[in-house]
Amino acid sequence: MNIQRIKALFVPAAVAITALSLLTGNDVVFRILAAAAFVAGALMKRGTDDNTLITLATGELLVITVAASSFIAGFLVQCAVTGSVLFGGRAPTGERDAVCFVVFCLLALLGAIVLDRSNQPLAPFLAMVTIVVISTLALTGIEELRERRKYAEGGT
Amino acid sequence: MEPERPTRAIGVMAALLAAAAVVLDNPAIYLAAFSLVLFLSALAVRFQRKMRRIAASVTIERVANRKVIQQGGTAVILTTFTSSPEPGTAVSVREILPSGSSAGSPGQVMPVSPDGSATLLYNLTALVPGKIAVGGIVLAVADPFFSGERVMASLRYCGPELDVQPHAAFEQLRKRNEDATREKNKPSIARGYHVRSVREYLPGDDIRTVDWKMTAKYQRMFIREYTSVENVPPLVVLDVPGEESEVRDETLAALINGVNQETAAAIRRYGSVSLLVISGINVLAILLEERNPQRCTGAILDAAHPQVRLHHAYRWKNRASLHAVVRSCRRAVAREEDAPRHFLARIASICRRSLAGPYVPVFSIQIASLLRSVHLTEIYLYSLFEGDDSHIRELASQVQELQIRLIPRTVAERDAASHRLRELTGAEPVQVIA
Repeated sequence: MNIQRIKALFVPAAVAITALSLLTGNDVVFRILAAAAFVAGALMKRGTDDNTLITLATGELLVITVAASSFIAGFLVQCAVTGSVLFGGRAPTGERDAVCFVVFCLLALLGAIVLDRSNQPLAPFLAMVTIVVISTLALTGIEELRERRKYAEGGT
Repeated sequence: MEPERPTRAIGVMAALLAAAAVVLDNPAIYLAAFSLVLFLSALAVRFQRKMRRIAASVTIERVANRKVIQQGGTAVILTTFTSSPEPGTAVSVREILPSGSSAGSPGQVMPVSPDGSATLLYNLTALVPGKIAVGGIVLAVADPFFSGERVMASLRYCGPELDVQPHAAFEQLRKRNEDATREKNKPSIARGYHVRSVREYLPGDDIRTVDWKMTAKYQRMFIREYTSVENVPPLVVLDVPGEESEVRDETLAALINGVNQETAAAIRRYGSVSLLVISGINVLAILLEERNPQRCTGAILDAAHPQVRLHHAYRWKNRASLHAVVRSCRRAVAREEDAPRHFLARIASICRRSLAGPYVPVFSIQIASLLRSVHLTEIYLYSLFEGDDSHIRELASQVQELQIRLIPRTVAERDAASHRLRELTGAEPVQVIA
């Protein structure tokens, strides 16, 4: 059994742990197991797409496990998982990456608060996802058009 | 901007979590799904900013080794690319070739090194005449989550402009029959009339060759390079006697020696010589515009003995002779008596029957194609003028038709043969070389 298959087993293990955690009422043992699966997946040798995806998948399942008991703790775990994927396990390589990460954390905190406070999280979830997707498409689309025009034939 | 495999996987993951959240109605799963969507957005915006920074920092320096090239010619393009590097990002640059041109393999794509610089050297071949310029670059940026291309075709990324002159490949170089010279596409002291190429002025160039029109157009001095001229080398024909003729060794040696001296002198004088060795209508060797005297000598010495003639010309149906026979028979029939008249009429009808079908001997075709393939102004014919001279008549008639000077030479007094040849072809008097 090669190392890629071993790494792929972390994801179903994390899924099982998360499911058991949700079904058995947030037992602390399952949270520890989910954290262990994430750490083991994250500590594997990095550099390929598969490692990134395994880290993210096990990390999100850990977020779910933790957030089931404490939303703020879940948010913090989410920031850790995202940071490890974004920077590849290293410290931020520049100021711009750090700013990007901080903005992401602030927006994620805002989303976590909204979801925590709402009685029915579906509507605010859909609203927030729609806002994020439309804003991103508008921002990148406008930027793309402006850049294309700038460097197109006849531009300066 | 195109999502890479991890990005697509994260999108699928977010969709699955959102579906699970809706089914289970669990706020923790909602948080995870929303975080993933937000993460994708952050990645997209980050990549967009990264790409903008790289594009803004790009500088291109592109130089060509020539400003003016001929159609089908090649210019060497050196492109130097610099940009500010971004960590975790792979950058490559592709040249936008002008239409009507091609570049050598492996193509005009260069990966940018981690320090943000790249150099590309390639050959650009212009296929159509006119002005062409490299149309800019395509900047390709990729990180683990997104990849994208930016076409940078504005003026600062284009150029340099190349002027492609039409190729004169199909233009026949002008013959100058009056001084027996021809033009060639090689540099030489003697100058022809046609322009071979145009280049930038270098110190020491003759100021009379300045192309003022192009100089005014490009604000730089351009020089016309003219074709050069060379003398037209002669064709030396050696007619080796047949095995059946009784030729003394001294006579044959003198003939061979004369041909050898003539080829050596022609190579010294003109730079090359064409050599045709025949024995009757049998072609033994052909050397076209040979520059090596030893190769000429070898070909001559290989044939320096009486040859076994595999083919003979006495059964040739010479159409001119046949016409002459028909005419003479017709005249004779008009004035002769019955018995010879019947005989002459019979001869005339046989000749007419022979004239009815086309008949071109192989030797005639060989001589015609030889005279067409090289530019000639004079032919030296070395022969003993003994026996059947049909092949000499054929050669002389084709040479006369092309207005080439035929100079027959022999080694002994052969007055009868020389007079006969001169009567038939209008060739010059036979020169005796020994």
